[in-house]
Amino acid sequence: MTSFTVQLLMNSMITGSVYALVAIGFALTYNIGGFFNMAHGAVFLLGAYGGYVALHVLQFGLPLAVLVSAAAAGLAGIVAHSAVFRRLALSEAPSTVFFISSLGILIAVEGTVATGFGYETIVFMPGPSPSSTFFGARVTDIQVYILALSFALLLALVVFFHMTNIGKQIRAVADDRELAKAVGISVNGVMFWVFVLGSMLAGVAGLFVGMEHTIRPGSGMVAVLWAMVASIMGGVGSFIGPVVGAFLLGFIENLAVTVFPSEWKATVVFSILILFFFLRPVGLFGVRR
Amino acid sequence: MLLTVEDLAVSYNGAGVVRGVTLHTAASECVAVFGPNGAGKSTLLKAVAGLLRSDRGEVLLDGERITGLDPATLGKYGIVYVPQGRRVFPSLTVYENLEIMLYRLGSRERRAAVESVFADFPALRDRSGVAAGRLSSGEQQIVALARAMVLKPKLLLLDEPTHGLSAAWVERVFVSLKALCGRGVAIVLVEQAVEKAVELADRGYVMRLGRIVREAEAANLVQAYRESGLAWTIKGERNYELSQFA
Repeated sequence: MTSFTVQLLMNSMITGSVYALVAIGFALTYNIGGFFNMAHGAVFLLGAYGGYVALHVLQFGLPLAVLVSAAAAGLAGIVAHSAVFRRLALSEAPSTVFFISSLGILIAVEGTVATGFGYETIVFMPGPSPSSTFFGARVTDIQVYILALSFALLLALVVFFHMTNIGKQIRAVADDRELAKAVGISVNGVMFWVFVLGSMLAGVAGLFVGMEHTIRPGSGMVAVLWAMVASIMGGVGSFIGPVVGAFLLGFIENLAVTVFPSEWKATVVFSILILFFFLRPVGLFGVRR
Repeated sequence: MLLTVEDLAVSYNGAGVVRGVTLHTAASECVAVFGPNGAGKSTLLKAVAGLLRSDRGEVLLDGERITGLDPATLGKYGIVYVPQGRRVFPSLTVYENLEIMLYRLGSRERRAAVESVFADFPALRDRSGVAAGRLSSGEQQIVALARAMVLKPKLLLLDEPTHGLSAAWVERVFVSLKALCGRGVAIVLVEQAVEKAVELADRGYVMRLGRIVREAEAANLVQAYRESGLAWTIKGERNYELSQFA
């Protein structure tokens, strides 16, 4: 294996692991709530800027910044669920109303963040990061940290889904929402936990993107679009699908920038997404319902 | 009376589907509800189970008003609904399908409750680690019954438990239902496999166009059904199905 291939795979793993953190919450909300939750981009953004404040204003270390990101995004998820989505669910609003409301939340949060921090791009980690070489591939310490913590969080999530009551209820509601209601599982209660967990993971991903790249108020929309692509490629309706889709997306994106100019990255990704719609509309692990 | 339904009416988009139904079930009694497709049987069960809002009427359990309570609360009262078609959570194992009903209990109590249900449905014990979606339709229906029983209900509301099953599995499901009746669980059963349901039921109601048109003891159910303007039509060798008489 050439050092180019190792570098490509390593970069894909790092990108994919961050996308997976965002995609899981997005796909879960879709599975259980039945709508594309654009507000997932808002919690990503709040997690990112929360992490920035923790690192650069409060001068916290990285572990504490991760907790601040998760807490800020989780709290935003609770507020979004309690103030908007729970009420919409109780009034049995159609999925388009959920979607438009979530888009409204994203736009409002983007505007609020821009008012506080400005529209300019923020660099979390200015200057070169210490790095090491792994089978010919250069990996920065920040990337190792991101990769390790992302995998730890994904593993913790698997344990949570299989070992806890609420995890099993989330799987049950994702399997069959109507049966879950019929047997007395509180779908709204499950939705609350999906918002909390999904938002916390997205918030941490926001911090990671800021550490690895840059953040600006428009990053929330980009993150939710990428989560949507990963979920569709991997297959909504399954738990493994969005994760695999995220790593596939990471690979396609990193391969695309080595072959085409970087401006073409989104074009390549969305072209492949459209191919998926034709060839495998339910995604790699999706279930036809 | 364990369950009393008084003048219950339910509509979809303004169209009356259940139109003033009154019925009752005593403790340990098995009551069957028959009728052609569209008679309102499933809607009636869903309304009693708290899944649909009623336009008027009351549902009482031991004389206490339970109209409109959600399924989780009804579960605490000992009423468990088993819907038609949707039998199991496919990605959960058989064990998890049973355990999911007991989330309010501690892990030791949960394990004990599931074990007691395995004693009643021993075939499930060997399949406890298998994803329920991998089971046959008949096995899934047994899991659905076991899942209901894990809450130790006083009253089961069963919506066509043999729908889509082979004759052999219909037989096995009714053997399980008879065992539940024998243990003192009251059942309100909506069922198309009328021949088997009549064997099981103590009493029955015939519904037509959203109304109860006949009520009879089990022995007189067939006669009551004929008098209601409906007929038994033989489908295959063993299964009888209700259909509207032309």
